[in-house]
Amino acid sequence: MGLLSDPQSRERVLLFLIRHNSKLCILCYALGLVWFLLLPLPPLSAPTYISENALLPGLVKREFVGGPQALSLSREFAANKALVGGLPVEWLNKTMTSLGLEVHTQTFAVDLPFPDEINERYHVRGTNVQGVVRARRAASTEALVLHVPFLPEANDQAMGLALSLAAHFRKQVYWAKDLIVLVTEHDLLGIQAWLGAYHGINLTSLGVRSSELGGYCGALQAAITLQLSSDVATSIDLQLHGPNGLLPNLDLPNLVHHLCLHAKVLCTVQELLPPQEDNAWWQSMHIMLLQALGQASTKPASEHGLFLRHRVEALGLKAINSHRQEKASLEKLGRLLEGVFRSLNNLLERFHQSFFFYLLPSLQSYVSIGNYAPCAAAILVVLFLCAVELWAKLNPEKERRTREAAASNPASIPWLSVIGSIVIAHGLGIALYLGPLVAHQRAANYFDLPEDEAVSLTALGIGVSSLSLPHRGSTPQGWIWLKLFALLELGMLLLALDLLNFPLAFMLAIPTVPAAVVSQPSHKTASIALLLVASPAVISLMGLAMKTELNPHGPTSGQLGGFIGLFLRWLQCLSQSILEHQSLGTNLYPLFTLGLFPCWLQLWHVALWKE
Amino acid sequence: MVKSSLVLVLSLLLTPFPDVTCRNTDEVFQEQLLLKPLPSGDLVASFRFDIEWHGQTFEQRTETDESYLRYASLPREIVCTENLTPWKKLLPCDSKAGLATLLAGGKLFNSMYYSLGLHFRPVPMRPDDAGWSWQLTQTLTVVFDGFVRSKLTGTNGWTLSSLFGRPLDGPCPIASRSRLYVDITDIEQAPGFSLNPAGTTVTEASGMDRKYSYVLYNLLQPSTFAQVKRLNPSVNWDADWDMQSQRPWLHVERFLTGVGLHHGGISSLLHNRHPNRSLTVHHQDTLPWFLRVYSHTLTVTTAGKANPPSYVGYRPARDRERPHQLELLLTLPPATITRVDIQFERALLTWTEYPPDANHGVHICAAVVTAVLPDSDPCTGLCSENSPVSFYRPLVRDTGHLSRLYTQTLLVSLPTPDFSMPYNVVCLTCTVVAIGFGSFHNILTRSFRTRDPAQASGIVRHLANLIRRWRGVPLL
Repeated sequence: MGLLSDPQSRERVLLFLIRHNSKLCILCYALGLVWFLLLPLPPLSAPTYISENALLPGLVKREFVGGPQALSLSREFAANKALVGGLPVEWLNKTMTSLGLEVHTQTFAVDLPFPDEINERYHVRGTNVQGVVRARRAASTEALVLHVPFLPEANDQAMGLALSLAAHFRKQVYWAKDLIVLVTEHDLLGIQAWLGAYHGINLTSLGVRSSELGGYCGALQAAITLQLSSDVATSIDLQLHGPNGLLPNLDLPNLVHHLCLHAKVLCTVQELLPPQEDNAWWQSMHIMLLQALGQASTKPASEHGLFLRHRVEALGLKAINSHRQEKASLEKLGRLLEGVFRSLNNLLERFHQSFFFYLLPSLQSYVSIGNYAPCAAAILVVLFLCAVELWAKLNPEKERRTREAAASNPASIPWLSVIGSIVIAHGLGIALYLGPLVAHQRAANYFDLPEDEAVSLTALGIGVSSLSLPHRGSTPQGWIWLKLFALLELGMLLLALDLLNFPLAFMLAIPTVPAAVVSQPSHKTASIALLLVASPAVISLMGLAMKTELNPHGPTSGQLGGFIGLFLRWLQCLSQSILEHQSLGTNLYPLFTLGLFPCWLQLWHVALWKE
Repeated sequence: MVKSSLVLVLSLLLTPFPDVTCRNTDEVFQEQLLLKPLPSGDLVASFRFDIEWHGQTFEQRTETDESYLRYASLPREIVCTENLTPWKKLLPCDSKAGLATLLAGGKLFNSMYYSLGLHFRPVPMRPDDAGWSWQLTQTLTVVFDGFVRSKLTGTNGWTLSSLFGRPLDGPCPIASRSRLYVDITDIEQAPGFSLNPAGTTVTEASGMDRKYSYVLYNLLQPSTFAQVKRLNPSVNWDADWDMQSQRPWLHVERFLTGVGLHHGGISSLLHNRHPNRSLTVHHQDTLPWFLRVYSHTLTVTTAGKANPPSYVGYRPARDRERPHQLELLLTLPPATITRVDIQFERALLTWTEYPPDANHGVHICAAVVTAVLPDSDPCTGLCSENSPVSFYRPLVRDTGHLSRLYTQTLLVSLPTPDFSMPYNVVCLTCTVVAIGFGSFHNILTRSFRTRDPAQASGIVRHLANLIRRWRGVPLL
């Protein structure tokens, strides 16, 4: 640090930085990219292991024999579902009571800000049913959750299996934690209402009206969300990430993977087969990229995700029935779940031993935060290097040496145009954030559009029209100040994001950093081209395209192919992200509109600065 | 039924209750067991043992001296044989004879709920006698799981030996009273009900519309063991009979609110299920000092409207010395749920103050809700002190009986440092922060300029040159 406080050595460091700046920038950027590409390889990814000794997986003899009962219960559930035309609350109440569970129901109501055309809902009314197996020898201070989302067309077998497991667990004496069998309606909204009522808190900006919950079981320690729609399954897919890139403690997926190995059930992640010997790099990269894209979308992978936000470690288990030979019956899956829950029952402390931040190139290996965080940091350093160079440009060497320079410098800042530009950019960000919600109703009436399309088009309209706002510079040096501010703001934003949601920060950094560095009035064409590629709209469009390309199932049938299809889906995603921000509290939309877009707009002003 | 946690409460009240029934001095040991089916289908067995002896006489006080009142509770106590064995040794017959022979760990600990009690207090001997004696009451309540029993055996009914593993051989020889009661109030109406062997039936009208009936087996009467060598009452009824379940009037639930490790809250839900009578309850909460409670956040709402407590007693905590104490006197309107909320902030502990399993969290004691309940309350356990099965009547009011409910204990996670490598982490971060902060603060708040010493003012240069010449270094 003496290096920096000594003016002469500071000068030397600065001179070195200025002289080699472009080389250093390119080196750091390339280093970040190459580092990321090397992540699936052994020194950077280590074999997984179970860190929490108390879990003791696979030590107990599994006794679940309720396979036929699970099948008959799922048939009965399906029949009652068809009869009622929705969640058969009465039947569930009766069945759970007859199985010896303590049953509580919760009704809830949520009004979305605008109609959700994809899921076809607006004013949502639903019921959650909760059956509790009380641990005999414990005082209801801790609980585990077995969560079955109610789906109109699927998930009957999951319900049957959960009920027959609960009936088995009810007779056992070894429980140290209560077990909650939870059935929720309206996917994420239902589980959100239940979690909100259980914890007496509302984490969204929507008012959720719900009835008073009963049957509190203390602190939730872990939750498993089950999706199973066939009588047999060929593999179990682990669904990891929750909203805003949250991940469960690595011990939980490891535990399930370990027990799957014992039970000889194929266990996958991102619905891809484990990497084979040949072409292992690309297969691991494929799995890792899918996880990264999922986390970057800030959307939970399944209904389990919202537990994570309440500090409850949760995992989604999705049973897949493909054409493979080895099939696992309901009984086998039941024993697997019995093993999972008995291991969780062994926990003495909450999950804390293993990693909360990681990337999984496969279930056998993981990349810890210490290994992946530097690649985003290396790319982001470029922004700060560039800022140092600009600062040096504003304070030429000879002026820095004289006393008068410091006093004369502030006067040379073109306050009006620079501050004006900054304020306009942030004001437009706020307009973009609020605009679609405020103006969609009018737009829908005026243009006769469905409301969710009106929302996306309003956002798009505000975004595009903001490009044409005045950006006339008064002084030749003004753009440097503006760019300096924009670089620092962008750097801080992405660096903070790197710690919270690495994949999102990395994916934003790759296109925005070159654009931010290059943008200046003298290279107008290049900067405009790069900035257009790095615009929030194009970044999200590219993310969507990448996700479609990497999706193991290929594009879903019924979707339009080509660019038009992609664009239409992007519009849908835009309105969905606004809706999810409002109803679930995901922060992609505010991040883009309040954080990224103003930075980008300032850089846009820089590129179009008239000297 | 409130599933209360296992809380060991030791209350030492040196002031006698004014309305304690007086008793002859020759009654030294009494034992009693009450078996009572619950609306849920479970079965509760309540043991009660009273031992009385002459103590030294002490000054009689007419009113409670608060300086002698103590309240303490342990929120995390697992009751097991380690508590049961010393508890049994306090009984005069140990577990060799009498009702205590039924207390075998294997069956007891396989139950739904289990609680041990120890009450110690002075009682007056006779109204006209100024003497006092000590009374030690030991209670044990155990709830057997009716659901699993009926599922596993496929029968409806029970015998004493199916519950405790063995029948009764006889009373404790030194007991002055030894009785077994079976509550048949509701189950009598079950189709095909039978109870063998027959005993004396005792009925009692309590409350307005409820009448309780019990079958009594007096173990001290020779006739009880005249026909059978060992007493093993068995109750049977036909399948598919649901007891008319009337739930207790007062029900309390307590839970934690909030998310994250900084702020949080505690909410209590007090259900008054009586259709037309409001209840006055006393809610007492003791919270440890490291939950920094904000008393201004205390809200009491009933059906969405504020329901201000008629009395609020709050004694704030002092760090590492005493806990928060919060007392509320609430009126619960009929057929409503009243919600009591209070917010807190978690304090940081020093790293030696954390328990060994720091990531488990800390247990918070149960709140105690005390109320005078109407006699019509379908109370579980031995709380109906008014009934003939209860042989002394403390704290009975004209209109009901005093009932005390313990809420759930809570498990609160505290912000916990990573104990796996405290030294490395603490030392490293402190050093880095100190060095980094110092220099950055320096760089940001000062402006550094190179200054040629030769340009210093004349007098300073002369002074400097003087010293330089003396030291033998080149002059400025």
